Amino acid sequence: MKAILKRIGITVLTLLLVSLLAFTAFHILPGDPASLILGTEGTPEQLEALREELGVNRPLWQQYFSWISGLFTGQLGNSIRYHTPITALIADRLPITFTLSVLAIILVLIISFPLALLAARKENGIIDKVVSAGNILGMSTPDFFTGIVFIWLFGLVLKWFTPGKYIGYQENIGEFVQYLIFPALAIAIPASAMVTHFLRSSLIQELQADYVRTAYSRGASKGWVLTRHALKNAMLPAVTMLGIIVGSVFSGSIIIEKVFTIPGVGQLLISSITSRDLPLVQTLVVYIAGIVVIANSLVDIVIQIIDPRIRIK
Amino acid sequence: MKPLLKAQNLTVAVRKGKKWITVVDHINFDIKQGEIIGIVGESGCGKTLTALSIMGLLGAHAKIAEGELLFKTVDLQAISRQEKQRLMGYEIAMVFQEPMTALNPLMKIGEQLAEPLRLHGITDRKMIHDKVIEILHEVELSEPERLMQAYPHQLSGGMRQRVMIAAAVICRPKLLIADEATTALDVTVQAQILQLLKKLNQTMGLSILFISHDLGVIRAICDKVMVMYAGKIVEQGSVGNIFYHPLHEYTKGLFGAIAVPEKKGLPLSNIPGKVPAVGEKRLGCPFALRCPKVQDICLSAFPSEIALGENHSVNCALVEADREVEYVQI
Repeated sequence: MKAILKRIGITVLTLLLVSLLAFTAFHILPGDPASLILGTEGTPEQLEALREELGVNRPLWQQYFSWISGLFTGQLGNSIRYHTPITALIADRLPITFTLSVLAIILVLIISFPLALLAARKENGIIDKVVSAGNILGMSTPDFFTGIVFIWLFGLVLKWFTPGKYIGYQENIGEFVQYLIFPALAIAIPASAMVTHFLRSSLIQELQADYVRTAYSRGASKGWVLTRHALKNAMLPAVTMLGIIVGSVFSGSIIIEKVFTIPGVGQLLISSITSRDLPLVQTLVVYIAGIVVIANSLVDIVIQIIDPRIRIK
Repeated sequence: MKPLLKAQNLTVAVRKGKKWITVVDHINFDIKQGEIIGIVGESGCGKTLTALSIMGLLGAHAKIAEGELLFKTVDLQAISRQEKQRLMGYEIAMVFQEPMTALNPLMKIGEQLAEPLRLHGITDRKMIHDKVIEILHEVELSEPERLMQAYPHQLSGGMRQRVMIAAAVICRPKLLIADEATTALDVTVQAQILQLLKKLNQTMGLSILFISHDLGVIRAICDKVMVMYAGKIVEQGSVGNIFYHPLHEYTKGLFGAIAVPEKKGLPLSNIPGKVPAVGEKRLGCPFALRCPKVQDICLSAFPSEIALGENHSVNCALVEADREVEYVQI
């Protein structure tokens, strides 16, 4: 319990640090949001009035604190480009990107665990070699390219989905998920390759352990040893890696959303950067960082559940 | 009485690059029901490989190159992997040297003790629980219910080795192979574990193949001893015969190297040289190069076994079969 509280404390601190960095970075950048909104026609009076309205003429620390408190209360003001509340913009798109990422992570687990177990069953066997080759291919193919191939293959040739015909989750949740499966798979492939590769070597290493020999001496089969002994031990490093994977899955979704024209956080981020929508950009950065940090904290908690030796400390 | 385990010309080879190198060289021995037999010898002489070959745990880099292993009437090399798995942990069990790493660190003690039962077809939870409690009592571990919920790292070395023994004998096997089972423990715990093994030997009629480099431990527990050197058994016999009438120069050397009260004040002797490297080609007695009494004949061929009564035999050219020894059978 104490460990979990400590973990939460660290999470909050990390997020505050990220928010400070994001805020500083975007305020060092040259450019004035007010003149950006009004364009060249704005009179000095209009500019001054708008700056007053946006609150950008206040001292920096005041701006920071009102922004931070806004992160908690949802009062973040309007987006410069969309002229709608930032909170509403993100709330609209977050479920989409969240679903995409969760689907991708589920796919990573479904793909990598069985493959790693099969490959480790016989080191340097045929399955192992095929899986290893697949890993190299998977790791070296960028996800946006896989995405384009998927659009062509599953969309245009096989017609399993209509490219570009995104269906909102509010309209039809089933078709929404169905549309997201292919982009999720495109993101999941390089990540799965990494997890498979890692878990396989971890499993093979565990198979050399003394407790594995003990299990064999009790009459256990290779399958029993792998699933009941080696897997849990080998999972410890692999789970740690999953925390890192969550980050890459999220950043992967930014590009993939563009490729599959999914109106998610990724697209919002890209358009807000190109239009210098600073309040929106810095808020998105903190949200994305938050998700990655929380995912890593969850990973730490999972590891403590798996490994009793860490629990004691 | 028919032996429980019979090894005939057992030869184990290990892979080195593309070649197979003999490391256990045509050894013969019997283990009878209820007997405790020791294998003693320096590190690297093939003790552990002998044990692993019986268990079928040699792995991909070692194999039985020649010879026969008979358990009761079963040829251990002829049976399928599945049949072997049914035998292992059920009729033949093994305890390893390192109690720290031989238990799965992420599995509760209760589950690890239940595993052999599950592997051999017992699924009834109540029955498994009862058997686990019973065996924990038998290996003299207190508070069995609490212990079952513990993880290995919460136990002391001695307790872990008791757990290892409990898991090994929970299916009531006929033969237990203990490979340096007390080596990693401190002396007082060592004595307790030896006592426990002796007790199980008497109460369950368990035969034990006890592997150790420690002569004191061998003497404390074994009925018979085999002295192994460079993959060969050079002398075997009852503990009394081997300890009080060692005939092979290697055995004598081993005894010369241990401290006993009678030799107080005298320097301990040691055997000059070292065990020949694995794969070193040689014709004669492997000990010839270190033997203080070496003669020409020793270098030409490995001497055949010379039986001196029922409980003692030696492979040494210097010991003549018909020699008039003031030999006392013990």
